[in-house]
Amino acid sequence: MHESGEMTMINRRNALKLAACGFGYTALAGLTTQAAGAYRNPLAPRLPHYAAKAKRVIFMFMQGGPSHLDTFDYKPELVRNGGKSGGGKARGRGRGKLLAPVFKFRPRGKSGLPISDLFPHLSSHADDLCLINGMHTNNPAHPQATIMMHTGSINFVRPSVGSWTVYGLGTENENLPGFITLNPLNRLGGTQNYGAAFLPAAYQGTPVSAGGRGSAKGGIPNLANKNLSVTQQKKHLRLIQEMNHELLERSGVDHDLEGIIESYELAFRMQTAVPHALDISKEPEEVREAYGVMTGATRNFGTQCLMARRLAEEGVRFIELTYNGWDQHNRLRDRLTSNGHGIDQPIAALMADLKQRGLFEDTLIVWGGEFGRTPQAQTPKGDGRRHNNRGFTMWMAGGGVKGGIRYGETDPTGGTSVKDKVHVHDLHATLLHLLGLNHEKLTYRHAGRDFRLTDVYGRVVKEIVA
Amino acid sequence: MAALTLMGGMAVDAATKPTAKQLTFFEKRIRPLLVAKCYECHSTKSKKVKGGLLLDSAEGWRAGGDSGEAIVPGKPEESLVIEAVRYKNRDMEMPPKGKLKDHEIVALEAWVKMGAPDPRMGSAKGIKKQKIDIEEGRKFWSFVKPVKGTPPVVENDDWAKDGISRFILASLEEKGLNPVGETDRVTLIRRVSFDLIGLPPTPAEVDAFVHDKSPNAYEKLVDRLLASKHFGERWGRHWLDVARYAESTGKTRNYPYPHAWKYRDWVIEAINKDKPYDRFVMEQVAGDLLAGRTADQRNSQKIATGMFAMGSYDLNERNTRQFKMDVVDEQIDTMGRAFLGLTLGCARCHNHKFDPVPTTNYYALAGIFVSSEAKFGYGSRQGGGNRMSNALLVSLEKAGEDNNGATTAKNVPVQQSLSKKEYDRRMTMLNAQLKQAQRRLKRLSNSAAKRSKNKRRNKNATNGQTEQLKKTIAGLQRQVRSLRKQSPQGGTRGSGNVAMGLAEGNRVADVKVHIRGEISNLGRLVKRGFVEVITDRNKSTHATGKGSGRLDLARWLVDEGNPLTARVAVNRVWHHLFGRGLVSTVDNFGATGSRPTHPELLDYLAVEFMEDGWSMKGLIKRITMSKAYRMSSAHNTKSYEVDPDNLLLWRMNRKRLEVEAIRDAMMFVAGSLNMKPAVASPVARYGNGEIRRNAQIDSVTTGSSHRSVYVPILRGYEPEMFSIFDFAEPSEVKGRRDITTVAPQALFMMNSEFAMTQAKRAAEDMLTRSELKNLTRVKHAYRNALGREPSKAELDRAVRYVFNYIQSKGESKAAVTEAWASLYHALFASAEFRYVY
Repeated sequence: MHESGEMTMINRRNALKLAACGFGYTALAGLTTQAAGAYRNPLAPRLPHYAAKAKRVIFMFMQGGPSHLDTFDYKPELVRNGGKSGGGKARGRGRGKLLAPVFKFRPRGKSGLPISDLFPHLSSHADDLCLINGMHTNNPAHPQATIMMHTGSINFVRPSVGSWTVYGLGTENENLPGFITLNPLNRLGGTQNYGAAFLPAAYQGTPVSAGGRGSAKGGIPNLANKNLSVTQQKKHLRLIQEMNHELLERSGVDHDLEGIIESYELAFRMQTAVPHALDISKEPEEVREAYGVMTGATRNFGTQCLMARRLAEEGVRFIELTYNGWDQHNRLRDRLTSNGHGIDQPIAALMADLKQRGLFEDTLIVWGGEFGRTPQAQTPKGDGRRHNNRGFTMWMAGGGVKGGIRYGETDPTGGTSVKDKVHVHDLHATLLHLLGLNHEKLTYRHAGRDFRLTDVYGRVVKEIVA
Repeated sequence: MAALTLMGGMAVDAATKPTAKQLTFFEKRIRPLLVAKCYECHSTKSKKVKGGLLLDSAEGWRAGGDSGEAIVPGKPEESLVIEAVRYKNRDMEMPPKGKLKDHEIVALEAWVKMGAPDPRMGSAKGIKKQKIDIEEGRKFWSFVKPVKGTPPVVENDDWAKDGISRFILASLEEKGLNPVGETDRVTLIRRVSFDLIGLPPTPAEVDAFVHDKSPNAYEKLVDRLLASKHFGERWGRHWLDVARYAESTGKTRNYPYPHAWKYRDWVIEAINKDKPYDRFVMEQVAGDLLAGRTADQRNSQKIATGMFAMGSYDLNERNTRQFKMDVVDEQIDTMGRAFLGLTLGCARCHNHKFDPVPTTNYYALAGIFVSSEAKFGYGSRQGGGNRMSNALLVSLEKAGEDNNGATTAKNVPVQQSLSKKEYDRRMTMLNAQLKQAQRRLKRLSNSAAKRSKNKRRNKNATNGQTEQLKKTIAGLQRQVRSLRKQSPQGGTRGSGNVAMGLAEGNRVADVKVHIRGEISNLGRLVKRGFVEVITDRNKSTHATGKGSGRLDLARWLVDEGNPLTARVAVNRVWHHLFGRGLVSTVDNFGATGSRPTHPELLDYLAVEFMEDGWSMKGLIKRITMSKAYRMSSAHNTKSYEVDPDNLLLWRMNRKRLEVEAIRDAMMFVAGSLNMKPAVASPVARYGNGEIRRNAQIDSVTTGSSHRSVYVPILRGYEPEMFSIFDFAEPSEVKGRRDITTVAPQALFMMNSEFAMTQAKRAAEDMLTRSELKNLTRVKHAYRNALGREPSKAELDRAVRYVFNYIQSKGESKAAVTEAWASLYHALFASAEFRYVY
């Protein structure tokens, strides 16, 4: 149907598109009216600033502020001093009595990394974990700290870390979004946490429901057409895209409209690519078993982890997983037990699986919440902990980080980071560094100035880079 | 130590002159200590003064720091400096590098106890930078009262007759740019229809306008749209974004607000009646305190205050004081951004970092709201828990005979209500019958289950009985529902004689500054009042009237000396009509907001708006009548190079339709839109429970055939289509929605049940019109969906498409409908459908 003259203008991407679905030829009509090469797929893979080990990120966001003191930050002094005065005054954040860790810590692996009994499975990977014990952030409130962790800013709407990553590196599978977030929060900033803000919309995270709490069914809505066969749908889409391209021709320059045209192309490809990537029923039973997909407590995060592995394999650049409910103001032990149980086996299974498939080396896993918790109990007789932005722990594993180490320190009872502190900006800088991106050079011009994920801050924590 | 005890007994007032002994003590023990340990961060010579506190002069520490009073002479226990050096407060340990020696701390304590005698005369001017200078602040562009200038002289005098367009043209000419030409009438009627009523014009309306030769054809069109009842539905929704309207609490515990719809209806009605904007503001802030002639008017005004009682609140908060302050914070933040374009919430914990709003101004406002009560139906976890209660709502009066204005509450067609006795009798009876039937059904299914285990075969008989019982139950349930409508209390939740809103609190009092926003860390008491920097110098910044001061606040907001209220309002209107505000950050007119692209025009509009009695319709008419608004949106290479973002408005911006307009337009074209206002809200049916994702919630949020403004909005559970197409997050003031382009939008248009249903209905409707044949059908579809005729090529292609489709499906009658539905579907999905040009 197309003229041979047009064929010569086909670039690689359009050739792919043409082959992929057969209605993309009309894209040429629009493209040829513009200067050749003027349009560039925003998601095309790009070279990093320098060679890097990590090619993709799996960010496990633990919403609520998990207690570092009962999990990954071993504080012997806190163990000894439980029940004693917290050293703070009667009012303010440091008030109240110290609450000893509710789980026992033991040295794990060859490295002897201390991890609490909450994570028996994960402990078997201790030698791969890089515990960042000196984390701190600006604000002890959930929404602010959550948005800070995701965008590096509290007061302003800024692109999320996943969006910056895809902006920097593009994506390796053009049939899937470059940034996928499974079961994202619909509060605490909601879409802002995976939004592109002023970056082009193509870099926005695509929310995918993996079932579980707060979502009716898995996947992306409207992914399949109930009425039309693939052939019919191609014809239908061709009609729509012809109209869109004619409109673009009539409109002159219109980047927004180009985006809409692009969104149809991607949507069509996603229809087959996404169900395939997310279909964990194709996995052998023993694999599903290993991730805990079959049992109630681990189903939610097991499903997310298994989906994450499949998405990582498919070349998705930034994958975020979310596990809710780490806000233990009370019943610390019970609720931590339940959460730990929910994520321990799935994460361990994911790490083992990635290793087995040779993906662990170039996949960066980041685990953590928006802040940590206080060494002091919530109330004099309380069995929970308050929010704490001054000291908490996150950990990384895989692509380019040293394993089996603790980096940074909180004070003897674990309340405040005191040594080798790592701010959220530093974490972001390091994450980008591990992906081969210089956080000071990854900029976007907006409203008259160049913006960065790390604003004017950020230190690459070279000490943890392998 | 002996010396210390001796001195301890000589406490003096700070103001009295220090004795020689005291001075010696200061010079020997205190000054060297301060110099060595404190001056690095707390002197006028410090590189950066920390905490806003100076310790190198008496004036310095007397002024205090960011956390308040640093030294209370005579009272070491109340002095923050002493608290800090004792290292007992983790958040405030001074000096940070290491604790002072014990004897140093003792000396400082003794010095404070004796009244902190301090001979140092230096001034604290270094601190000026940290403190907010209100007078300096008044110079910021948006805090200067707007002045109406004369529209500038322009070269192209013929192009711009109206004032608005002259301002636009002048700035274009300055850059050597020309405006593009006027748009054609087909485009113009579609633009102005969507802009004013959120619906596309019908083909007949397009024809009438195109062929109307009268000189005031366009004005007639604008007037008709402004008078349409759909105008309020469109512009009311714009306001609901700002008022962060929603029908549930959101946050940790998400409970429904079954009475929120009354506020929604109030907004729509106020806008349709062109309630002057100053009055519109006042009623929302203090409607309950304004006089009203009739019960209806008083009720309506009470409902208006719902704006400040439908925020997203954390019902899980156990501390009632904390809860109250969080609610108040939400109110102040909403009021600031909605009416003033100020981010006042920033001043809760510290002086505003960017705008000249000190914490004291925040707590002056907080006093007003603390002295009022937000009645939204629930208490905090400690204060009544999560059970909705009418006692926690505002009671409305019974509409009296003296009513002559319709109120929203009255508009609800309530069926003849029964006496309480009769109602109770019938309800008891029905419920008993219902219970009995349900029990029987359960028994039946239990025994059926047993039988099937025993492999007995009288399945059919059981099935028959089951069906019959199910029918009976459904019938009874219907009766219960219809009976509820006749309840003496108005029946279903959401229609009782109550509303969400504000009331005066039991206790009226000023509040103290909460240092760092903490409820347990109180500073000085602040008199209830307003934001100083935007208060006319000659007027009081305090609430002087009776009660909470809310009425004073309402008057202050719309005082002609207030530089922000009118500017913010006209800018919102401009934003909706031009796709971008003159100040693009419509909710932020402060230092971090953007500067106006056309400051003189903004002022001109603002002052004219006030002179015109704050009439919204008048303002919208002036703008839509302007030459600038009627420009085409065509591309121009030269102008594009100079001003690619069209900041100077050399053309009309192309606007993407909001989700409401997309949804309404699809249903309108399909003939499936119920054009009547919805009565109340289906949220009332939801029941008492916390909102969770389930089938019921889906049925509450979707399935409405009314215009989108009536679709219930539950926080966290916005209808799928709404979330996909950038609906405003209903937990915060959002005057400007995001505009994203993502694959899920394309997927929705391609595959959603909704898109397919509407396309099918549109096709079915078209096929009933026997006068239409293939070619004319294509024209009809294009005109209906896009408001224009198809080109020859489009016509041919569409016919070919439909023809091929029918052929491939075996030419059945169903295939014909499907084929035309598919064409409509494509038109709905096309980008053109979603744009206004």
